[in-house]
Amino acid sequence: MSRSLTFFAVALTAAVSWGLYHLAYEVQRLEDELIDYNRALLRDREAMQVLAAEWSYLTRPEALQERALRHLDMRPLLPVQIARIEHIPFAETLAPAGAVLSSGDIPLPRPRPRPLPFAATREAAYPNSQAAPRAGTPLPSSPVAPAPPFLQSAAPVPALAAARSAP
Amino acid sequence: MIARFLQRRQRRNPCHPADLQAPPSLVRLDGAAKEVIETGRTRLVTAALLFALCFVVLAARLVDLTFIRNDTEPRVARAATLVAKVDQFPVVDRAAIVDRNGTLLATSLRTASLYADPRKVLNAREAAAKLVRVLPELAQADITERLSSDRSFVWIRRNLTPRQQQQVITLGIPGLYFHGEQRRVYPQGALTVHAVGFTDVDNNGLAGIEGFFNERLRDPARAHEPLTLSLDLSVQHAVRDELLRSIAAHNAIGAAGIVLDARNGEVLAMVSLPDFEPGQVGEASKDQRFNRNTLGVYEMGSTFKTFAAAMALEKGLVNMKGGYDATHPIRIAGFTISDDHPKKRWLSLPEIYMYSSNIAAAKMAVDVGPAGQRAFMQKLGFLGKPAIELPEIGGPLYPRRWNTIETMTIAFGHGISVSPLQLASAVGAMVNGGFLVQPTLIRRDPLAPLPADRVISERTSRQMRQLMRLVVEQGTGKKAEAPGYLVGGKTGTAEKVGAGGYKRKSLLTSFVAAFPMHAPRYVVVAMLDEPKGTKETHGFATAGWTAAPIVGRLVTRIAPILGVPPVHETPEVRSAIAIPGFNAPAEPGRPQPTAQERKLASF
Repeated sequence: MSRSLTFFAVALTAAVSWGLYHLAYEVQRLEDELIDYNRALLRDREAMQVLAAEWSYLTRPEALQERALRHLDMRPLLPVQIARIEHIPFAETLAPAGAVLSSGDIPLPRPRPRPLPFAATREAAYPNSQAAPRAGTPLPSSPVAPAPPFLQSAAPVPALAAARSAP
Repeated sequence: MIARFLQRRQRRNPCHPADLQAPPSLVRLDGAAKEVIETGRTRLVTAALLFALCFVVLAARLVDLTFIRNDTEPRVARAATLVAKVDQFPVVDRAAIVDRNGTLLATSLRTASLYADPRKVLNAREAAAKLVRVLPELAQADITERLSSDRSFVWIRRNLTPRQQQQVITLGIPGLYFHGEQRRVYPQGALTVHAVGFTDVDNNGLAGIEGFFNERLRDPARAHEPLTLSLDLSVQHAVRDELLRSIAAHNAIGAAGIVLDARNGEVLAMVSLPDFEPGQVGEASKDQRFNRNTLGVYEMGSTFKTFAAAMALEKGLVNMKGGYDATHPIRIAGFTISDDHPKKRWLSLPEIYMYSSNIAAAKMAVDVGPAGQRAFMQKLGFLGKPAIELPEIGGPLYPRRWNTIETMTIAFGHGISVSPLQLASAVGAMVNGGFLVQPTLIRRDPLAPLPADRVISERTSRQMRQLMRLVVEQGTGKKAEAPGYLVGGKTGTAEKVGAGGYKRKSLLTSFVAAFPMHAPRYVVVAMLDEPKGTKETHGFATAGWTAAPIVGRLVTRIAPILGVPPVHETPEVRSAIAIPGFNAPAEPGRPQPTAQERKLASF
């Protein structure tokens, strides 16, 4: 019993010393790492301050104005160029050249296609596409594009159509 | 316990004398031998106890160190503590100054200053040649001489940029060292110099906000939190740009401009020209360093008729239909008060204001009386220093004796000198519904109560708005019109005081305005010092030709920045800003007084 106790004590001592040794070095390593991180942090914060000052310097209104006058074809904003959002008409009050359909079966009231300035064919309007645009696909908003056949063939609701074509 | 353990060990030990000799049951030690063994055993036990005690003490100390920590002891190793709290420690020890949108106006940067230990420099000539290549502004001969001196410390150059520092390091010259320093940097340069101010080489604020808030900016606890001003850099630039343009056009010697929020007193722009680069304070002249907005006090001229009119309206001595006779100049105590735009007839109040009649303004003030006028001026803050956060504040100049003649001249802005800032805040009170708000350069907390005193009634304020709008629509300030923004204002042309009285040729022209006039939000003051007439102004140098156009251009420019939408003049807006019979149709069923009636009314 005495012998095993001795061995146990020696083994324990060895293990604890080994553990302590490693712990001490691990702590030292971690502390060094912390200091390194903090130094890097400090360096970065300093760099950020320099960059903030530099940014503020480079974006001086004077410098921006000078550059804008030299490179951009812009003029000071005039009051007539400013509009309120409520003065902008809703898209549906404008003639929609293309309509978005959620279902192909529902006929949507839409204005009569404008008379085309030239004899446009569907192929001319969509030169690169063989298939007709499918329902649910926004159509190109060019006024010369004729409505696809499935819309032209659909009978519009008379009252709505009359209301739409009035203006 | 230890004694028994030892005893047992002794027994188990095969080399123990007990094993070599006869079994213990047969041998009995007596006398001297027993005594010796007993002594040895006692000594062993004592030694073991002592060692045990030592270990117990060590264990206790270990427990104490690990579990029961003393507060005075550092919780972590010292080296770690110094940098562990880096988050709370700012990189620099003077707080930054930013504008209301967070744009950096002043900041401290860590810079490196280059010094040398000449005794460690191996080849002074070669080192100097290399240094000059990186820092071309240094004189090679001077550096060679410095590097070959016998001293152990010589400055090479203070405050290097990070790039220069890197270049010097790359040179790899032995004996060169860097000393970390802090330097105040003003990225916006001259743009905000009179408001922000500057510091000395030791980073002590000397002027402007830097001077006024020196303690706050140096406070280590708040060094990481920037000081937010009320200035808006874009507006500030627009003001400076327009003033510079007018100075050039009219060959003026100086100019000042203020944009003030009429509702809460925030100064959005404050420009005084000529100005200077804050980095080169030493080279700036006294005139450049002079802040015309707060330190300068001037006789403002006709802009003061605004207050004469407001005072008379407030006291009920005149209404919008009433007026005064301005046919003849007033002669009093050897002085003659005459009009610059003489109409030589009875003038109604809107006409008095619109045509800027000195005679009628003087008569109006006399009706109020010296005491009443003085009290009104006091209420508007013209008789004290304005409380703005700057060290450079000029006190107003006003007569100690305030009798009838002083009352008359003060009515049209002579005999009293105030700063443009005082004028701006008083005009703010005229248009904002009647509250005088303390102007400030620090961004206000929108939730904090506003320090404001009522000076005129809501009704008088509305009438003043109408009068000011009339000046721009039909009077002397037509050039201040900014279509869509309903500018209203008043011109002021004063002759500067020189040796032996007023100088006819050196004028101080100003225009004080507010917009949009149906619900005024911003007050704009533009002032030109000694403008000259040009071909475009037909030789005129008066405020209507020199100062008013600044305001017109400026408002068009800053209104979109400030988020003021252009106003469509609906009938409601029109009725709020127009005066029936002038810029609005006369009220039906109420005939305008005939010339005869007007004459009678003036008596």
